[in-house]
Amino acid sequence: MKKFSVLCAAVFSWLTLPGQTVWEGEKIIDKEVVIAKQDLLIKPGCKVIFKGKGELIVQQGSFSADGAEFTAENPVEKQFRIRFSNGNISLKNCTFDHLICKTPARHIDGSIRIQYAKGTVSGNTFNRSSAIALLNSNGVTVENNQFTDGENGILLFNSGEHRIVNNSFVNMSDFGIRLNGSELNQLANNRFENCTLAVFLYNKAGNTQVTGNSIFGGKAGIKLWHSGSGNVISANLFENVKTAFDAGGKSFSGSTIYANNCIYDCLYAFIIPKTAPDASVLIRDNAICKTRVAISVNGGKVTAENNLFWQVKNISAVNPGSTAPEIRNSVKADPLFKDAANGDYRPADNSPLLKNGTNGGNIGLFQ
Amino acid sequence: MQKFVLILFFLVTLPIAARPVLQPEVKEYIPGNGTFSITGLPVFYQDQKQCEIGAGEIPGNRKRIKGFNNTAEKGIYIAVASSPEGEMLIRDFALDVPQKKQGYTIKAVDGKIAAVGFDNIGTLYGAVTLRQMAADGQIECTVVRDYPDILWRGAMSYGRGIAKWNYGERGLAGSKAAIDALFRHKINIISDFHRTSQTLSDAELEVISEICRYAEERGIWICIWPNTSLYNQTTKPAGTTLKNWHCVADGRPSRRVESYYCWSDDRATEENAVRQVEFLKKFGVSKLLLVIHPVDGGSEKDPEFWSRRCQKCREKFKDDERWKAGVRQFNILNNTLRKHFPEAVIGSCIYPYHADMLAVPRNRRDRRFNTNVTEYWKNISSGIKDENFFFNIWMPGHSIMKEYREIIGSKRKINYTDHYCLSAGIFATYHRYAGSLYEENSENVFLSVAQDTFGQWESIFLAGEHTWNRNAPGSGIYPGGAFYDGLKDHTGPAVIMEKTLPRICHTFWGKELAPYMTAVMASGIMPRYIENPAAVITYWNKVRRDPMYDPNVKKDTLVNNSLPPVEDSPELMRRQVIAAESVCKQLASAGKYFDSVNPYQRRYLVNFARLAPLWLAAARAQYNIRCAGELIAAGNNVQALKLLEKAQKELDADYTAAEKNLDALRAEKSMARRISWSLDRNTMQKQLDEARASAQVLLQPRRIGRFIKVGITQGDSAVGIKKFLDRFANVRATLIDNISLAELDKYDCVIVTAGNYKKAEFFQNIPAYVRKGGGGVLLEGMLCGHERFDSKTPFPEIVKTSPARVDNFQRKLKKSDGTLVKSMYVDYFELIPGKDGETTVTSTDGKPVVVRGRAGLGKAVFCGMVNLEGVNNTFVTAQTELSGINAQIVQDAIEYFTNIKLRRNKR
Repeated sequence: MKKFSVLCAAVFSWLTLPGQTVWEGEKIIDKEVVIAKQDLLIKPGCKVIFKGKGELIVQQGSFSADGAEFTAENPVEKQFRIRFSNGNISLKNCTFDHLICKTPARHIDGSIRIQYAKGTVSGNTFNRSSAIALLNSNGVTVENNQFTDGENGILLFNSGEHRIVNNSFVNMSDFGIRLNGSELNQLANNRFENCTLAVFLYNKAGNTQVTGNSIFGGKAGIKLWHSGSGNVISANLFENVKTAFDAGGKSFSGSTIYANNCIYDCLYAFIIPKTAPDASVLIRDNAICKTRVAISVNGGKVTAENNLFWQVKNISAVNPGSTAPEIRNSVKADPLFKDAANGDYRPADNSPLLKNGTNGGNIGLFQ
Repeated sequence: MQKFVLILFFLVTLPIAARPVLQPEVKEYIPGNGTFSITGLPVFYQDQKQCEIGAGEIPGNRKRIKGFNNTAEKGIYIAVASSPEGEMLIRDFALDVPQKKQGYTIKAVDGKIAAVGFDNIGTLYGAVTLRQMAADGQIECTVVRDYPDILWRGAMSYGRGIAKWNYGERGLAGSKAAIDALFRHKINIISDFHRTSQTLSDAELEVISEICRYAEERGIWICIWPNTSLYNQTTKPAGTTLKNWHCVADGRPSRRVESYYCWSDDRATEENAVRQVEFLKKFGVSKLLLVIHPVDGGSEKDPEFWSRRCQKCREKFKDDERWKAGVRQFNILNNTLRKHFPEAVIGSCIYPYHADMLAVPRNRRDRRFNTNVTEYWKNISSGIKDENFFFNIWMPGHSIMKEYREIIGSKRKINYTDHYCLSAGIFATYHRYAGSLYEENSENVFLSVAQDTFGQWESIFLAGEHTWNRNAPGSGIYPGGAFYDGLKDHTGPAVIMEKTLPRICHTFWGKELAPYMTAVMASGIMPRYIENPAAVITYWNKVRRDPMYDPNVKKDTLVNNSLPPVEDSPELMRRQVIAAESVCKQLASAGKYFDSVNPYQRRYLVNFARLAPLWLAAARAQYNIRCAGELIAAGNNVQALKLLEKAQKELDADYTAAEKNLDALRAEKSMARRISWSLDRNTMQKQLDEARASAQVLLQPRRIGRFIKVGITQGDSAVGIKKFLDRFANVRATLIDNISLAELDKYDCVIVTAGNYKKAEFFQNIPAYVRKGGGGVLLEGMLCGHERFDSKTPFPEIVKTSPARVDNFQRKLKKSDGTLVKSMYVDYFELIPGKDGETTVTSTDGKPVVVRGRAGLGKAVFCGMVNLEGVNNTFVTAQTELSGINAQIVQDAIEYFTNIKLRRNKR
């Protein structure tokens, strides 16, 4: 009887219109299923279950799913569960559970790969799943998604002009968002809770705005390693993170601005390891509080201006052979946050954060 | 020339000086020539109880001689017309005694005075009028003829009026002094014996019966409200509960009253009647005014909740035969009561008891209306053969009475009450309507049950004035519509404030205190408004919109005969500051005359003296806070802070003065264990601090921290909402007790539960928090544009108003994806979305119930439901954890506000 139901579900779920495949009910994918040159529409309530090495490949058409459930019975090795390429994608309000790529390989790092595509991934829940990998794509919006208890969240590889906004990453054992060789992306207003590494700009990832993100707990907040130039890291909140910023790498070059960030109750605020000789780092208008070391310099030219330091044990630590950071116009006073103990880092009306920033601007979380 | 001036002065002042102050004003006062002193004149009175009491009313030390057989001696003679002494007086004094119940005549001539009543009580009233006429020891030669237009007049509360004068006192001298004050103003009903449904203890009844006997001797009737319920909370069979009772049950938890009804059990009805008789016997009086109360509720749609009657009742009485059941029950109760209390005046507030329902145009009356209202009244009236059985109604507009009479017949007695007005002030003039349902040769009753008369003596004396004489100056014919107008009835009409009120104060307070107390009563002070402006304005607007709004019973509007709503404003509170200043000044000046009243009435006076400075302190502080609120709303925080600095100084000074005043009056006896005023220094200081904190708030968009901080205002549903939110790992829910800007600003979003908020705060702080501070608010139930808030919302672009409350006993609502989900409560408000409102939940027929939208930097969600459980699919609420669509709405709202998904706690 059960088999018959599954068969019926499978039969009735393939409601194929010219150029369109529609799935509803339950769909078992236990082998490679390819839908090429036509659109795939997965209807609300549809359950897509991956078994064995099952993989869904959609190419040269559009792929849209709204309110569907995707689950996998088992992890896979060196393969994705969903591959989409050359088209428009829309994944909304879906649940992805246990889609794990156990041993990632080069260019196979995640459970869903979106390549040469545009579109939207929004309102989805990713539970215990490996990353969404955006490869060689431009202009995908990934917003309002929730990533929980997975290894990693979103990977951008050789991609640009994506908007990664308002996503939430909780308990990611590797990273939340990683950019590899990608440029001109926007990472805004995302939340990271207890992720080993929240944001990783890697391998010439440059001209990226990392703004308004909130990072709670974890080993590292935002790491820039061998990244490119032109990155602006602003208005991010770090609370109880071991190292808020870890920026360096031998090929780390160009200029990076860190502005209006709030770093509270962290071990290190900024670690600037050895960098290319021409690399410059500007740290301005940040509020750095309850931190052991504010700026640890191993190389490069570091300028810090109009920052507020409060309950910071060492404002700077300069390792042998490095140039001391140029620190000016610092404010050393209680920032008078509204309620820092309860996570409210807005300034009270008499706070020194107000009007003491660059050009009379404000210090701290102002975008 | 000097002589001429003196004569002129004498001529001008003579009539004014000679005319005594009488209250209620008499019908005929025919002055003769000259005055004479009553000093030393003996009183001769007929050997009869009321004559004896009347003799005692004549002031001064004098001989009081029982019985007389001639009128040769100078003196004061008192007798009933029908007695030999009365006949002698009529002959010797050539008296024309009004042939009216309670009527009397007085003649004063050549050192002799005769007071003769048509009946016993009339004679007593003659004596008390004589007391007022001779208050200064002089009496004008005159003839007075007087009688009441309405035989039963007014009602003073026993619990809140009479017993207060006796508080903490051994003996009953205080209560008796209060009854003296009543009959001296010819008020003849006492009501409001708390817990009269067979629940009074024998000890309490013993005290009450003595008071009632004392009152009865003074012409006062005891008004009791027996019930058609077979049982109440004390007489019910063991194990009976409101839930398991087989027929209609009514519970009023706030009053701890349970009533169990059934129409098909004649035996139990008879047993109930016998129990009522046994209980009433304990009052020890025969002058009973018994108003049998049926099931209270259901309006004309389902009167007495007839649709919920039991199977046996259904078998016995069809759907349109409620009248048969009513006739049967009323007859049983009436016959049993009548048998034991032949003198009692008995009737019932036949449900529905709003005669003004006839204001519904005939072409809008459907079959149901006729069955449940007009035909019901008609059939009940024709079914109850005892013509003395009265119908008790809320006073209708005068024009309605003609049709009402046609329905119930011309002979049926009517007992009409005022509209259960919750007066905001201390003296109200809507009693000027009290005589407006006068019917020639009828024996109608006017029963004031107004809340303001609970201990508000001057108001009830005004009711006496206009029922004694329906043409008294200032009398009004109630035209229908709002019975009580809080904006006008505490300061006018002028004729009452300037003519009648001074007379009332003169006769009640005495000539020394009268000018001060007149000023106090006419000041327009409204303590209830000062104490709770939102509740008062809400109530005002309810009765302005729906004249039949009954604060005691939930019902639907039938008649739309409305006045424009009152907008609360700082100006209204400013007027209270002025009024309170005046009251304080008058009472301070009157202090030297406090000894002029008896020690029991003095408590009533001292109560004003204690409270007045507190009224002033609270009114001034509130006025300042409101002004500061307006400045904050306009962005003038610096000015607001300056104003609040001044407010702090005034608060300190006012409360210090009030506390000193209380200390000074500490030795004075009270009317209750505690002073009845909730806005003490700490309460107002807290409000001032909140305003100051709000003025200091720098509103900026927020960044959500590790946890989403959700504030929940402490309404009925708060506990259930918090319980639900506590299940999420990334939420910290806190119950908050105010909506000051400073408090709101602490939270990422706030769930504002249906409750009683200050309108200014609601319309200033909530929008500021959302629009400028980027916060999110979920507004629940009545906050979505209910009449309580003048049918407006803080975000009209999202929701304009919520005009209709809709029953939803199927308890299903539809989500935007079309799925039906169970709701917790049995009704909701239908919302009217604004241009930016997005509907997310609807009724099953597609009417908006939840609407959301952006406002400035923040967001708002309107949820037209309360988050409470409707117990057993009824309006009875229970505070349970959110479930069904209510839980989804709250979760969705928080996720919408914060863009953060809520995560359940891991088990």
